[in-house]
Amino acid sequence: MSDTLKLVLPLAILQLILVAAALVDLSKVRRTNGPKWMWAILILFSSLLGTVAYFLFGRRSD
Amino acid sequence: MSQWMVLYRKEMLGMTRSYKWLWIPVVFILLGVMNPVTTAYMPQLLEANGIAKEVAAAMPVPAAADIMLKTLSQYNTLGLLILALSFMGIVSGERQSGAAVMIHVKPVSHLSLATAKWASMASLALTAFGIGYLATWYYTDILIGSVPPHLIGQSLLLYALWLLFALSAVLMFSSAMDSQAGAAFLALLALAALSLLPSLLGRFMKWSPGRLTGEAGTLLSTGSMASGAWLPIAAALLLTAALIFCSSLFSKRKAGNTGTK
Repeated sequence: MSDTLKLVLPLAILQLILVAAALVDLSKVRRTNGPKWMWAILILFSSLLGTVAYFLFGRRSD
Repeated sequence: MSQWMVLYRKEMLGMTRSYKWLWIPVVFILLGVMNPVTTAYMPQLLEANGIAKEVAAAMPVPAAADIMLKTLSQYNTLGLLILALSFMGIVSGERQSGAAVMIHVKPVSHLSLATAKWASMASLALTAFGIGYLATWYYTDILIGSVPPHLIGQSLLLYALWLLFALSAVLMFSSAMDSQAGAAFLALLALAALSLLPSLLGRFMKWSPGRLTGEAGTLLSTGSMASGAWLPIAAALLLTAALIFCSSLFSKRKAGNTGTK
């Protein structure tokens, strides 16, 4: 394993955990602010920003 | 005390259920670690984007302390934004959902509720900041160069103090206002003013807790603390306590209005 990979791999894993948690939550909650498919696309394709936006604005407190 | 622990644990449970304990620390780690990583691989990144090797090689490599400084200023913008947005409804949200009424059925003092909320916010924010800052230090050490541990420790404490003050401001605005977005906006505005005004009105704003970030930066780059640093430290401690107390007063005043809207 190259040194670069050794350094970047933990970060990639962290990001994957974040995306996975967001997707699991999205599949479990009944309703979100805005359509669910939109959040799925945002979480999957806009890296960190979409996931953070989902946790901040997508989840409903009720 | 046991009642306070129940309130504190309730807040912590709420933060776990809303995934805050997962995503906020992870985002702080990624946000911080991005700095040493992108700096170290900048020549390769520039080359990949078609910029000549000579230009890329001529780019100055910043000192390790500057990387830590850059991370602190990033926490001060994006980090504070994330914290303010995720805690903006910590008091007003419960008033709107009716949970506040349920809590005050029991003889719970507003002060112990406010301190429990603040303590839970502080636990999460300081954990996220601490892990993120130390992870950044670790990556900087591997990729750029070393920063002495005692400087990391001291700058961490200085910045943690500023964060505690910032959280108390968010808590205060959240209990004073009904609009969550408004509370986040005003808290961020006040924090930005406290950070910016010392450089404009230097003589009158020496006490501003916003100077703590600058003090942490000075500490990192020069290796010693400025002589006037005790003033913002004392002011941050006093104001934090005052804002938590104000928050409990606002909650008390608003408590009469809950459920009638």
